[in-house]
Amino acid sequence: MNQKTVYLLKRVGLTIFSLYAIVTVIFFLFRLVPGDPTTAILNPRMTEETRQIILETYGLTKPLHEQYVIFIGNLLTFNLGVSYMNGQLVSTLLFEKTLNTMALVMFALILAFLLGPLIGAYIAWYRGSKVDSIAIAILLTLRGAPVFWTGMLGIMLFSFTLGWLPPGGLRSAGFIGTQADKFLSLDFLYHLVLPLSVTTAYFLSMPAFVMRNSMIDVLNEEFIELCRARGMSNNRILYLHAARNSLLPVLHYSAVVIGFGFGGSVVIEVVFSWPGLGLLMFDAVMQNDYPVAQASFVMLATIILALNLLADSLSSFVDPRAVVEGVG
Amino acid sequence: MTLLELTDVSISYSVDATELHAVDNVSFDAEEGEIIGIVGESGCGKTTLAKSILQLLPPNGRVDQGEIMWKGEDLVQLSRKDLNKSIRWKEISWIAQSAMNALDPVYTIGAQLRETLKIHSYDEKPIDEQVDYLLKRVGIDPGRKRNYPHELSGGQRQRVVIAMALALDPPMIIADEPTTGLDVGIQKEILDLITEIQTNRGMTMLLITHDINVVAEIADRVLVMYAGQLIEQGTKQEIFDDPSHPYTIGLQNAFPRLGQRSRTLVTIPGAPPNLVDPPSGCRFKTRCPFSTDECSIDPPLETTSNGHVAKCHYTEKKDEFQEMGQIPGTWVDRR
Amino acid sequence: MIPDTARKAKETVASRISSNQLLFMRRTVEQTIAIWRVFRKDPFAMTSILILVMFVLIGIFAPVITAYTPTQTFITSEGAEVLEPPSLKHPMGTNHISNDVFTQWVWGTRISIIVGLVSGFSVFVIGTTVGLISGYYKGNTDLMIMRIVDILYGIPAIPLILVLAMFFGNSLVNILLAFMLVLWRTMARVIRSQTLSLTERPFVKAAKAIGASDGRIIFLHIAPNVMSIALIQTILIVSWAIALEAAVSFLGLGVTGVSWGTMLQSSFVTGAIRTAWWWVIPPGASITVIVVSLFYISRALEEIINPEVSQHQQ
Repeated sequence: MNQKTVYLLKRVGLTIFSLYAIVTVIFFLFRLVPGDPTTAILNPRMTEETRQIILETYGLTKPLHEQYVIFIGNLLTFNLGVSYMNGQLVSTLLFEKTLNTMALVMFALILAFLLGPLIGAYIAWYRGSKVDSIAIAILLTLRGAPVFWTGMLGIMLFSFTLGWLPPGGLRSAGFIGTQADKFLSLDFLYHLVLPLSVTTAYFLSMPAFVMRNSMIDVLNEEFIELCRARGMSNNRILYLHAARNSLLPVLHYSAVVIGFGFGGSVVIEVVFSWPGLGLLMFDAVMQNDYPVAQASFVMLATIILALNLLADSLSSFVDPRAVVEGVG
Repeated sequence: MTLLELTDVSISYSVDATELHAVDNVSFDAEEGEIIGIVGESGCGKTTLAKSILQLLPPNGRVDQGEIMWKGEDLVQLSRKDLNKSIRWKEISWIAQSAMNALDPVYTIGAQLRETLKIHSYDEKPIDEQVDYLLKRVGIDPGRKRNYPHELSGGQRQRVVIAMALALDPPMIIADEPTTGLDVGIQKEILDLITEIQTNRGMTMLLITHDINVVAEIADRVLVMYAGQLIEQGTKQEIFDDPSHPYTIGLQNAFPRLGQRSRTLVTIPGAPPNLVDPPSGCRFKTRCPFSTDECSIDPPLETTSNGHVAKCHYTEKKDEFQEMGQIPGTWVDRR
Repeated sequence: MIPDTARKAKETVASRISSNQLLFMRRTVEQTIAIWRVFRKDPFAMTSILILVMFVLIGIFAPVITAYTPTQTFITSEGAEVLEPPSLKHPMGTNHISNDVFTQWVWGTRISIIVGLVSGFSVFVIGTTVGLISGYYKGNTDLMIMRIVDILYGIPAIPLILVLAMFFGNSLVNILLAFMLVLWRTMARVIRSQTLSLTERPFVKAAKAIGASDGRIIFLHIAPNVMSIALIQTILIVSWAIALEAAVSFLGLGVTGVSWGTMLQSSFVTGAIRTAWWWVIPPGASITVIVVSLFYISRALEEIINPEVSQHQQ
């Protein structure tokens, strides 16, 4: 078994362990709230009968450790219960909403990690110049401005003032079509433009900066000079040699951005009324819908951890030395 | 045939608000097939001089005056584009110091060799064939072309760097400290390789080093630099058997030489002058045991025999200096 | 060793350590002056400091600057002055219940600054301590702490705060506690790695050899050397805290009272963003300006510690 495989297995193990830990914490958090456990968990608007049924279904009458086993079992079989808000199966809700979030947040992250490093590499090459200073100012502003505020500004400008784009939502009312159609239609794209632009702009400053810093170090290395001596054009040196060597820290940093991105999805989806996981969790919390809140939280954590794992496994492709040295 | 002609080349760097005069009025020629060794301590300007030939100076460095003629063309005036197209690597290539990472860590050595050939539109042979040939030429198994630089030893990496320099069969190669940082045994191997290639192909070579023994091994002619100036130039025989500048004499006696009767080594006390504000007159005068008041006037390059020049007022006294130079007591700190 | 000699040795060591403290204080002063000089040369950093000072002053002197109070309503005989664009009476207009936006904006400064400073300070203390302990003792303590941090890294900030708010309510104290929970992890990590390398240095081994206690070593010897990194990290934490407060308030789970975040929340939820740009732009703009200023300051500090190496050829 070579080093790469060992390392990957270790990482997978850590991911599973982290997920397990989070799930356990959630369990205890939701069970051990201050006050009477039943009133905390049950929706006060329910009738006495419904209360009893729910207590039974959730096994809330059983001792804690038994509840825990049932809880884990339920999670693994995707038996996530029923929403208090609208009575739907939590698992179906989750699936639908997750897709919507991916369509926005995942897409934005990918774009950010494509554009960000390109920008970062370019300004690193021209470090110290006016272009660099201006670019830094713009990037810092994009990063510093709260994404929901830029969203609001975007809506104000493009929806209300100019009337070019819709102020939110995933698609226009009265849309009829299959699941796939939902994402492939022009209507969807029309609704995607503003949220995607705002979100991507917000995300891309992070990889851009990491790339820039990394490049500045790499550009001072010996082999870059040899590339120059060999008669390579500036673009070739910039993109094929300097940039390629600068990517590893960007990949490491992606873990932070991913966590940031999916955490921020709550706020982004609220502003754009985008019916995704974040908005779902928000609504659930607002209405004390415990099953949904719990499930969506775990789902978010799972996505983040899974993507982190993916990013880590890519590191050996980006830089052949990564596995030997170990990552992070 | 003279391939390279440097005339009165001066180079300076802008550092903060001041100018560092790294190279001052250096002239020399290189004939076809010659190995020229350029020696001097760190900071003497030898690497700066070499880099200027291929316009590899950093942005704050520039050639203030002088010409660098390659086959009749002034390399200083050439545009970057033309330099890339016709001179770099095709006419003049570069062997970098092995201790640093001269090879891109994220590409295999085969890929890097291939790239070198591709960007110059090499078409004499199928590129892969040439890559295999080059690796074999420097003593590396072509099967290793899928390896990354960090998977090779220091000596092997240096061989790859040499293979890369040979890729387009250039008429001249500049080798910058090619053996520094390597184990002594490997040093010899690399030097042998370089010599063998040079004899075989008859290429011209500029060998930059601070290690006088390397030069003693393989150079035809030697240039000694000190504080940015060329202070002595001659054939290897002349420099080693008849050093005419006090600095060269000191250098000689500071290095152990195999085959010579044992004697005590000397050290030249003091340090080279600051090149931001270089002293007038001879730059070695504060450390020279033989300096006089006359040395406040900049010495000319005196010829001692045809082709052998030294930048000193007292070249006629060289035999005396050579004898006294062997006595450690001569080299006393005179500050 | 003879007890008398041992005592004398201890006294010498003790006096040397206290002269170390004097040295440390003098060094700190020298460093501060050096930092100031570097800042003077960087226009972005200078502007940022001025901006921050300005906002702090605005926050402190809020009652003096504003003629009204944040919750004051303006109902005249002609009706309520609701959603009015900027005018002389209301330089930033009014909101949906006729509060003066400018007043709200000025008073909102206080919340942001308090949240930022308190979070920054507490994370600084907690994160640095944990990082120092983890990096110094290494071994199992380190492993355990780092595992916890690793797990926490998988938990996204805002969802966690939502969950905590759901259970524990959303008072200011709770919000601050939630922030601390979320923000200390980066600080701990950064300090830990710095401590790890410092612990290997000769001066620490020397201190151990003369019998200095662990606590002494950690806080008197190692801590001063991580201060620069800790400072930069704290500045970033403050910027995150301010941004986080805005986000959480925007979601309606923030502090009661008026903050920039709640202003944005109200404008959004009431649909006033259709027309009331005067209500939307100032709070967001001030958050942006403060956060960007903090970024520039942290960049200037980083430049001092790790100056960007010389230019390369283009």
